[in-house]
Amino acid sequence: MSLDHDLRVIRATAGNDIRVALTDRLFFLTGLIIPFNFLLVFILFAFSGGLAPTAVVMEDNGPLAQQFVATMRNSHSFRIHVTDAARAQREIEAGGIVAVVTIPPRFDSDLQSGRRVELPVMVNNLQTDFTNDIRRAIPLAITNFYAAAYPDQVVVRTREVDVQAHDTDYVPYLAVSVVVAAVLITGILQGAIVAAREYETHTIKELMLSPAPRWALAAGKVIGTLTLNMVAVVLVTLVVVFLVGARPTHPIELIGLALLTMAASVAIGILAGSLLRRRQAAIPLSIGITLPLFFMSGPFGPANWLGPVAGAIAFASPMFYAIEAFQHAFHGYQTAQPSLTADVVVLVGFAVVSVLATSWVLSRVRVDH
Amino acid sequence: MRAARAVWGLIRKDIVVWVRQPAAIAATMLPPIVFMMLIFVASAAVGRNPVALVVLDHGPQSQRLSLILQDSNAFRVQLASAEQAKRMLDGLQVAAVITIPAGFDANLDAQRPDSVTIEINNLNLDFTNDLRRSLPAAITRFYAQEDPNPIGMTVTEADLRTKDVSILQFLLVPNVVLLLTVAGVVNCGLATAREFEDVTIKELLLAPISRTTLIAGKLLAGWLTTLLVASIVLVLGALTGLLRPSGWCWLLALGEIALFALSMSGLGVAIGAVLQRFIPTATIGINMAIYLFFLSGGISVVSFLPGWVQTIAHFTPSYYGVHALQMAIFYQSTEQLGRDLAVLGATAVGTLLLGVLALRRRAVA
Repeated sequence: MSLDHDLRVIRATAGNDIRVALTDRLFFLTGLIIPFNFLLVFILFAFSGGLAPTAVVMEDNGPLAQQFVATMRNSHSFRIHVTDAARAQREIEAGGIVAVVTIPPRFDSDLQSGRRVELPVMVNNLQTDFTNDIRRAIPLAITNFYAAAYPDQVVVRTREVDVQAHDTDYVPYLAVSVVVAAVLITGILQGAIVAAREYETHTIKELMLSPAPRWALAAGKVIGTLTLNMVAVVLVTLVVVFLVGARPTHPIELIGLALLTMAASVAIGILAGSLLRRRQAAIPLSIGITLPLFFMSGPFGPANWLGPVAGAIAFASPMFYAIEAFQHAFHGYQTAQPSLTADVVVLVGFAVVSVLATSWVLSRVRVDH
Repeated sequence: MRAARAVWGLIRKDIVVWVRQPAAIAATMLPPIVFMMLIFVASAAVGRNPVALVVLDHGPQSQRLSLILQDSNAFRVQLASAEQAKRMLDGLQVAAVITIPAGFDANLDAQRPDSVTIEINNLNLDFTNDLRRSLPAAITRFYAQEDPNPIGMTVTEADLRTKDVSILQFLLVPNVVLLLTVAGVVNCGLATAREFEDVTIKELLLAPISRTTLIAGKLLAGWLTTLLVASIVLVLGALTGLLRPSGWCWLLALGEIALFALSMSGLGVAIGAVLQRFIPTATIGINMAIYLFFLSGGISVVSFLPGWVQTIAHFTPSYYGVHALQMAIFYQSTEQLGRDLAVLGATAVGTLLLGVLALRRRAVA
């Protein structure tokens, strides 16, 4: 068989898959809904941003008390609202806030006369993570307040030097990771559905009885599904770029990486669908595996910063390399230890191995009558 | 008696079909198990960023500050030379380098401005703000050990709850709820949709049993499957000591789990009966499970979320399920128990009615 013949097989397989998929509106919608849901949920998560909702009860309204509350507001730790004691108590008991800070009466006069001030803080100690945030943040606000109000008494300060030229907000950072999740989850899902459908509708028999090479069939399926997948990926990326505001620093690199990641994910999905042979199994399993994989791959920051075990687990996930590469394309910096070249090599490797494995699976299919 | 035998037959059939589908079992169990593993691995490090500490002064005060930084639960500190620290920062091994400068003690003794430098790899504001908070917090501790302490303000902390709960334990509860939701909504939904898609519903309808028996069998099968899955997690949680209610709260927690599982099973049956097809049922079920997990505080604390999201969360049963379980398991408390049980009970009744109506209408059609 000539290369020309093989290319015709690839084109015909891809075209057939696209036509069949477009007749199934539900299939098409599924590919769109899931990545958008992902994006929405995680952006909402990022909005929470680690700022503790805190009520401040002002029993003294002097200038020092006001200055202390202003310092709290600027400490990157609290979302503050001023209220009265009774309402604050109700709010903390209802779980609406995590702390109540009471500025005591005579706050200003005690400080001015050098008397010690006790600052009552009630904490909703639901879990240690955010309780510790509060336990750190209040002393931080106190020290910063003292450093500003009494510079001669508090001489030890922090001097910050930032590695990156500007801060990246958490939402644009996380949104980029979610784009990768969207690429992978829709790719794997659609690939699995396309492959499993051939077995459910018994059209796999026709494919197997044709004289076409198995690798060309597998490649055609990857290209067809990749084309379908592109719609969802382009839409999610446009939302992230124009609504979330994460502008790619390297747009050409982004396009290349998106195509590569789509190819890898679709190939993995087709392999899964060919092995499972039933959409009933392929759909939940695709989502069930991809979602936890996303969390393991360092979507919130460098995976190794969560410890050596988390870092080692992330290395085994293709999503880890994709997230790092996408962060580079969007924000221009590296978020993991492997280089961009290593990321690309790994993603290419995943795609090639999955296509070869799918060809192998297809070559072992026996046609029953 | 005959109806009971038929119900039991339906339960056995659905459970056997479920057991024979390893992919369905894996899809139910994998997300919660992997989430649990992830929580287990990450909880030790959450809020503790890796930093390199460079100490260029060897005086007693700089050593004291160095020890405070090393003991801080905000950092995982590695002592390093300036060159090593630079390499670690460039190689993303650490998130920041803290440098206690030469002359730190002399400046402190002379009450001259004395700056401790923190070089942060400010990749995103989440990590960066953690670090921005943590060094001044360590300096606060440094001053607190001084006698006399120049900072004349102290914090008097009062805790709302009797004990602190680790983030690992805390996040396990929404995870159990996720498991119940996936097992209930997705599994029961798919089991019901499968009957229509494989046209086996005809065989069930032609069987000499009433519609009520058929519906009861489907619902109970879904409920028992969900409880079976939940019991594995609960036993594991109890054995590891992470989820171990004491005294009568065991019963309360089990009751709450049973009630929540029932409502999710009813919802699953309703969705499966209405949609009758596998793919939409799976799509809606899985998306619903993700949303309910998120809104119950699965990956964030609900009160940290924007107000309108909190309002939506208050309309989801998983929010009340998680609250009720946390109170029973961690605090042996009945705080807002009436409210939580009322919501869970009403949800169970509502979804069961929905499931019964949907299955009855579709079966008749």
